[in-house]
Amino acid sequence: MKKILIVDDEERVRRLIETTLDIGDFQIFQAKDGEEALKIAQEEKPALILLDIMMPGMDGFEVCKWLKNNSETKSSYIIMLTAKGQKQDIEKGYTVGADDYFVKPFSPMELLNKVEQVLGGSD
Amino acid sequence: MRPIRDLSIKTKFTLAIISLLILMGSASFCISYMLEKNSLLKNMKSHAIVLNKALTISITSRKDIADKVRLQELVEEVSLTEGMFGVWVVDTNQRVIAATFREDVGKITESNIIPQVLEKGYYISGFDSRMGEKVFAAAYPLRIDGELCGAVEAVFEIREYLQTKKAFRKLILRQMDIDARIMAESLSYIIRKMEAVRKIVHLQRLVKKLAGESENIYEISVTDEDGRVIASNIEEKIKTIADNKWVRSVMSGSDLAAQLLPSQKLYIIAMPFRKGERLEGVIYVSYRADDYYKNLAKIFKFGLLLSIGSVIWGVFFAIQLSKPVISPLKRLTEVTKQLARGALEQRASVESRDEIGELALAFNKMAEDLKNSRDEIEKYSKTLEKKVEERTKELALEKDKIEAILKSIADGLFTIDRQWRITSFNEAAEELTGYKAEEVIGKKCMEIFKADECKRNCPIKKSIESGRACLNVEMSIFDKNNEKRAIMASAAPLMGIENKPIGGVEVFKDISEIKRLIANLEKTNWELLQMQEELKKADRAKTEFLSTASHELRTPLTTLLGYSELLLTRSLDEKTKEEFLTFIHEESIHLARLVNNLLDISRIEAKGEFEIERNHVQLLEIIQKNIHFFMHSTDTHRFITKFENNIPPVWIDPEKISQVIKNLLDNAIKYSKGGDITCCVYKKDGCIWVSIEDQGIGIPKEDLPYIFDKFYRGSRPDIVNMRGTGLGLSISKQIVEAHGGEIKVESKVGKGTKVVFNIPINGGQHEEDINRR
Repeated sequence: MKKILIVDDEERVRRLIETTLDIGDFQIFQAKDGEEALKIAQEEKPALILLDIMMPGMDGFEVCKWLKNNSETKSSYIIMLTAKGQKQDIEKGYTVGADDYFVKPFSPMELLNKVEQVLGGSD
Repeated sequence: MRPIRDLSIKTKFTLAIISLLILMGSASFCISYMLEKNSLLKNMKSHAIVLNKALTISITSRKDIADKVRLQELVEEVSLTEGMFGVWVVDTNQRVIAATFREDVGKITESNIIPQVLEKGYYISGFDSRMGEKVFAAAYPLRIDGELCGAVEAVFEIREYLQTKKAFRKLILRQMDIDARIMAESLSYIIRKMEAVRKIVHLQRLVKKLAGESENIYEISVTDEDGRVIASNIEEKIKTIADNKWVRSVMSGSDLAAQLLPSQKLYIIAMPFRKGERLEGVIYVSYRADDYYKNLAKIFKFGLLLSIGSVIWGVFFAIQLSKPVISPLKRLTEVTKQLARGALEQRASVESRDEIGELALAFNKMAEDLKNSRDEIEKYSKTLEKKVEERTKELALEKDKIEAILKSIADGLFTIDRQWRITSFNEAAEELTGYKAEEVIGKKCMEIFKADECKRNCPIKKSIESGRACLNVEMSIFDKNNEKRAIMASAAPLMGIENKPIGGVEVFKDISEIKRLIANLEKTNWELLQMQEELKKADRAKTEFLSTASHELRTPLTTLLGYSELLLTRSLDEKTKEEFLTFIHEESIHLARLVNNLLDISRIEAKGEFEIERNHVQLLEIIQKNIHFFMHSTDTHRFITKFENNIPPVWIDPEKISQVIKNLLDNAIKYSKGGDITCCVYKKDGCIWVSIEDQGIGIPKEDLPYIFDKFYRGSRPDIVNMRGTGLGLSISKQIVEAHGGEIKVESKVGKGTKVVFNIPINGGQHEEDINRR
């Protein structure tokens, strides 16, 4: 079972993503802020991380940078999942090491397709 | 007697030769007299200097040599006393000059006590060690003539003392101290006496011997540094004070005082003798000057004879010489007198070919020239008169022209002379200062204008002093009404003959208006810069807002889109469906509020004011409804309400006030993790007061002044990433103020925030506006 980590400060958004991914064969973890995300990522080494940007404390860019610079976590596939949809935000996301970028609001079906596409290949 | 200038040439000439001869005779006499006198005095002076040298050397050298030998003898004798370890005499440099142990002489003392005595100048005793043995040492300062010149140290063995029982030691110590003191003191006394006696006796002998060597010496006296005679060939003088001006002069620092006393026929010389830099005393010598005066008398007689001889010879020679010169000159004088009276045709007769003859010829030529010149002058003066007349007319024209120019100059202009007095003052200057030209001409310019700058900055003063123009000086003067006027002045010196300034000219204009305009311009410029800065700030805030607003709108939309799609595409149980629908409903409300806020703010932006539609409304109902709604959105907060009884209906726009309450409650929940949220409503001063207080993170002091600014979201980085547009408080403030009320925030970081607003019950001054509408 592939491990997926959802990082978002909004509980409703986490719940939405969790429900969206329910029908696949995944083990889901949730983090409400950056620090929690780093902790879970190190312990569980998820195959995929869905990462929000605007969060209190450490923001998504910092979390992504940290994860990609850490040998234990850099193999995780990171999708930035954020309301920050401007061009320079997307560019910044790729600069700090994100593998993909998904702008809110999003369609749950599309997200599910994306996730299955990313995780399906190596399964 | 006739005055000298009326004497005839003959007499003048004769007198001149006679006086020349007398002068020559007297000069030779004076020169020889002076030469002789000086050489006599010089002899005596050099004799005295030699004497001084001899005396100084004898006195100082004898003292130094004698001191050491005799002192050493004395010290050795004293050392034989029982119990005595030794005696040391040292000079002020701690160098031993006499000691029981001869080998110590010339070395620096090893005593620990002597340095203290030399420093402090009084008796000191105590235990010390000497040559490895414990001893008791006592030292006493040695003073000669009151001046510290060394110390005497008496050292005792203390074997006996060490063998004594402790109880008696003190007694013995005391005895030893007394003994030591007496020993040191008496030694010092003996040395002092020795010194004094030896000095005087030796000197006296020397002086007497020297005085006997020359019969011309009347007196040789030697004084000490205080002027007391310590040796003299006139024995009555010894020990008296030599109170005369020559000695005093030398004592006060001069190197030589000498004088000839003609009444007493004495020549007196006083000189100092020194040891190093220090004055040790004065040598005073007086010579008999009998020989000197005898020689002078001889010379005087010889000189007188010489003078008389030359006078007689001179008179004779002069008379003989003048005879052939005088008579032709007399005749020439007669002709000259006639010539002066106007008889230019008169001529002198030429009688000889010597200088007189030549003079007559020259005279005749001169008379001829004079005649010609007079004719010429007469002719010329006639044309000159005409020329002067023409020039005067031209000058008058030139003057009128200059005056016209001065008058027409638009700037104020005045001129001054070297005494700073105003000499001209044009019309523009009159207009500018209020003074009339006739009021100021002849007065000093500084007194008229009363400017402080006249003292240091005045251009006309500078230009006169430097001789160059001084341009564009800004200064201020006072006009006739004593009002200050800012002027711009330029000045130049007026040059007279030889290029020296004879005064100055200053041109000035009133620049008060220009200065005011410049000040205004500067102010406007500053305001524009301020405005530009504000605009930039607003622009930055707006960009930030756009990014925030986009995020804020997308977040509820995510919920709406996501959950509605799930509801449509998934088969869910009833409970989940209901839950998802609630999410969608709540986010819709949130979105609606957000959109409301955005619309409000854009309305304010567009119109600059706020439209409200008032009704008589129960405020408590609105508050209750909102609290009820927010209660469901959080389970970490507790809501407390404190409402006063009998809150009357208020004249407000229910939608807008509800928006304020929502904004404040939303903030209270958002910026506190949990705890109490207290809402109070009460009546005071004709207003209804509403306060909403949380126990959240609070607002830093530095952010407080800006929290009502549009888009302002504080400076804390963790807040900036939280949801929010920075519009809630700004819009709330606009709404409350549109109702005639006020809103305030009190906050402490870590304690919580309290927002209070009030609304006048009758709607305040806005009521009339509403009715009219």
